[in-house]
Amino acid sequence: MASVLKVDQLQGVSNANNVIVPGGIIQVVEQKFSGRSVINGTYGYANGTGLKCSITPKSSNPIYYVISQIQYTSAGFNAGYFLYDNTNAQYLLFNDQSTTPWNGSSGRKYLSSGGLGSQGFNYQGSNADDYGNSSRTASGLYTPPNNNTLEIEVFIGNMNSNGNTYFGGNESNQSAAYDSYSHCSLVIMEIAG
Amino acid sequence: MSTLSVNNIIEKTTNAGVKIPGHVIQVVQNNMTGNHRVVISNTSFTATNVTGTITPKFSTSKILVMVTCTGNNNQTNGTGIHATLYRGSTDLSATSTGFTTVEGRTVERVMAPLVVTFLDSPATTSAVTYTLYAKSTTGSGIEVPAHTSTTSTVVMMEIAQ
Repeated sequence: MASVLKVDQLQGVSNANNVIVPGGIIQVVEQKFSGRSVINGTYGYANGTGLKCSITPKSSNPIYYVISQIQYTSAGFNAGYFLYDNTNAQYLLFNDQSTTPWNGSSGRKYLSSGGLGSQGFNYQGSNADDYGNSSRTASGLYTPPNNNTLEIEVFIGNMNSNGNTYFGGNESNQSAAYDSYSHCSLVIMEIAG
Repeated sequence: MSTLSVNNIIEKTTNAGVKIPGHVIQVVQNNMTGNHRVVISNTSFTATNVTGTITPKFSTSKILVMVTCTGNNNQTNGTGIHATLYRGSTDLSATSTGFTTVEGRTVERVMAPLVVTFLDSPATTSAVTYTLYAKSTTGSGIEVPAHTSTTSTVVMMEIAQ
């Protein structure tokens, strides 16, 4: 016979916020990016964007569901982004046929989403990257190699040229509607293992 | 560490839910499968038919809203699409470009995902409605979703605090 516990609230003994139910989503954290940044990169190399999200697991063998929503544009070349586990120095959410880290122009790079070109809304204009940026999302499960506090960061990779990427905004950065900043966020959910 | 072995944990008070800090305690999905496409020519954010409603069990809860939809720029004069998320009459992005965009093109039709993920704190136990709003960047008509047969989804997770 199944046992049933009827209760209005459950709290941890030593920490009220620490109740583990295996298989359940037991913690959700989010980090938003503020404003806009300009990232100067080199063909075949990547740079951190500063959008980082940290989570301290409550369970001993956590699995994370990660959702990234990123908006950016670039100055006349293709740029992609990837998610990187800064704690354990490894990529996450990439195609398993990716072969090469971002340390030179050769090879298929690790990408979580993108790439995209620089053509914004005013495509017919000579400075198309002044107008709007593009939204790219990625989501999936990630199992880290340990249960240390985890930090995930968004990196931008220059896919075919040197140049600037505009993260959270676009190139001209005037105080005008067409240069408004855009929402960039990282969400991490812990699934108790 | 203490361990409680039990097969099922249910609410003591009917419909009150079980509050476990940090946990997802309720998931609601609105899956729109019929023709719910709208044409928007407005350059200000305008409501689409992509919407979902959740009634939080606790006023302190956060709601993780995940919207999956598509947009079609209709191949007109480099028209682009901005989309944002409203809670009731409040624009949660509070920016003119919203949460997500579809680039315009002058020579080709662009159909692309409109995806929004947002962690909200509605501070209420009354029903909360989230709606995807969109606008045209030029005043030419855009379509949300991109087809009459496209499915759109709004998933809302309540996270107890």
